Amino acid sequence: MEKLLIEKRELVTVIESPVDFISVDHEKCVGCKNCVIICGMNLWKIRDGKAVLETDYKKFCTECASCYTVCDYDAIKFTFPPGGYGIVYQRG
Amino acid sequence: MNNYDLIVVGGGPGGSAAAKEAADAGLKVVILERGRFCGEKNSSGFGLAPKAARDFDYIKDLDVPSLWSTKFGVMHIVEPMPSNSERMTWGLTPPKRNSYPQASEYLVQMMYRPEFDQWMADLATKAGAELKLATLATDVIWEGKNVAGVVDGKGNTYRAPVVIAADGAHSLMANKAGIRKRWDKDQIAVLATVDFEADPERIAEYCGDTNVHIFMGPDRGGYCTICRDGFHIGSRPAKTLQSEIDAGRNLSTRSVIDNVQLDFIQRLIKATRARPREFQLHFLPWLKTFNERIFTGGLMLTGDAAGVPEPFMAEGVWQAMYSSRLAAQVAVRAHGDKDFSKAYLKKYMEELKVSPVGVDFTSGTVLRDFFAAWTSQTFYDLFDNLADAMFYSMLTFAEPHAHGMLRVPAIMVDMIPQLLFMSRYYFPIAEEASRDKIKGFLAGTKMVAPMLQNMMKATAGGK
Ligand SMILES: Cc1cc2nc3c(=O)[nH]c(=O)nc-3n(C[C@H](O)[C@H](O)[C@H](O)COP(=O)(O)OP(=O)(O)OC[C@H]3O[C@@H](n4cnc5c(N)ncnc54)[C@H](O)[C@@H]3O)c2cc1C
Ligand code: SF4
Ligand code: SF4
Repeated sequence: MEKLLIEKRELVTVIESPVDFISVDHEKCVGCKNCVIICGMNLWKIRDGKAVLETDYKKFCTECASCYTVCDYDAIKFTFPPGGYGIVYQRG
Repeated sequence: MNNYDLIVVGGGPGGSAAAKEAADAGLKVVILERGRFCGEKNSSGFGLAPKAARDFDYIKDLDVPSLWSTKFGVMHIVEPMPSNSERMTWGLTPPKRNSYPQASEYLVQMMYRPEFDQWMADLATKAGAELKLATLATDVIWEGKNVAGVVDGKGNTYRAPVVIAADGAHSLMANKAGIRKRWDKDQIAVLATVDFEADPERIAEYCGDTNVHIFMGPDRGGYCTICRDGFHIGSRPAKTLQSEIDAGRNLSTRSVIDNVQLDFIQRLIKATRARPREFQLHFLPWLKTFNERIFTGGLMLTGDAAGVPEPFMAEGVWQAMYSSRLAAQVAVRAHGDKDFSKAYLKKYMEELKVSPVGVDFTSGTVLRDFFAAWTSQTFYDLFDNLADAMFYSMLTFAEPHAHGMLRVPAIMVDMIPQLLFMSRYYFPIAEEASRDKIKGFLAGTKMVAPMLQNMMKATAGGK
């Protein structure tokens, strides 16, 4: 049977937050990759040994809070987007 | 300044159950919900347990468009990867003998979360609670050692002597109130789901009365829940963030994408002309033991924020409603006694711990390990042999049926390792549940099991 691909980024609806709600402190980040592994939307990369968030993460982030939770070095700050912004699940 | 008797943070099933309970008792209540509508931030693809109708009178009147009570489900044992075909399937129906009627009528009530969450919030507002949508609670207000209100993202303050934080798995309120900075990695899972849109007529034709499918196989697992105009594909549970980090990949997301390739799902997609509609990722607390750190002065955590989803399947909506109603009752009593201190609100934790929500945690790790083992090769082999043992002799065209029958005892002997594996998990759980009844029986089995195990070592070898 023909393989059906799940294009995750095309399947999320997001009202883009006007402000940043995730940030990473490069002083604290040790480049352990936990955030890269855990993000189901693949929004994290390691550049020069430090974690960086994709510049347009606000368009795709599902606010799952996994990246914040797996960072053992307390390098990630996470809050939710302002009320009324962010991920929209019509069929949760 | 907005003054209330009770502030509820979060308009999920927990928050609304708390708000309705407190408003019915005459408290002035506000719910703060960050979504533009209730359920906007929640994904489950969700089955409400029959015990909700038993324990909450109003659930008997539940009526939302996607509601579909599950009278038939199917369990599929799928072959090891890369094969996606099914080895064995069998039907699941609610048992006829049960302690209350709903449990015999349906397995779960399936529906979409936005519909359910808004229906629950309507109950709360009809009881008199105020609902503020698109409102993110960002901080708590302290008065001495007690939380005495919250602040929202626009800087508005809401004051009340007691706050119920039903703000879901990633609880900002737990953080701000100094109860918990974050979950430990082995206390929480992130679950992926894909929602498909499909032709309702074809769904009715192809699926009939069966709207839940569960898949198990070596290193495979997941579920498909069918709604009237589409369906959800879910990943397997049994993985916490810790196990994902240990594995070095996001297993839940991988698993849901793999599950789309299952033969049954591919057929369902074709037959119902389905197209993927929404991809979802959501936290689910999955604690092994009851979490006692769920209160401080002026604030109680309930539902996912308290980590109450049960330790086996991680069912959490009834648990959220139950814990939140209890917290609301304690809040009403606290108003009567004019005491909102940490010492007073401890009663909520103590009462929850001995309630059915807390009791589910007594089997703790055994249950969890058993569930994790569901997707092991051993578990698959059990069903593999079982299918042969049950049907080979009856159905064989390969040899006379009597000869086929003679093969059955040999197949049963092959199953001993898997049966021992089952008993390792099953007996401690059953022992916990009905200690007295089966103690004698277990004593016997425990003596026999090691002997059988030794015999097995000698005769090891497949069928
Ligand atoms: C994929 C998946 C499948 C599941 N399947 C089932 C199932 O079949 N049956 C079952 O019983 N359970 C299931 N669960 C578990 C269930 O979804 C949760 O246990 C349940 O939703 C918990 O309810 P709650 O009210 O505590 O929290 P939630 O439902 O998470 O509600 C919290 C609410 O608070 C809001 N909020 C959060 N922070 C703030 C803030 N700071 N300010 C304002 N609002 C805020 C959120 O927007 C949300 O509406 C599943 C979970 C997942 C992830
Ligand atoms: S998890 Fe934390 S420390 Fe590790 S790479 Fe990501 S930000 Fe850096
Ligand atoms: S919150 Fe979830 S989706 Fe968003 S960046 Fe972090 S891990 Fe990725």
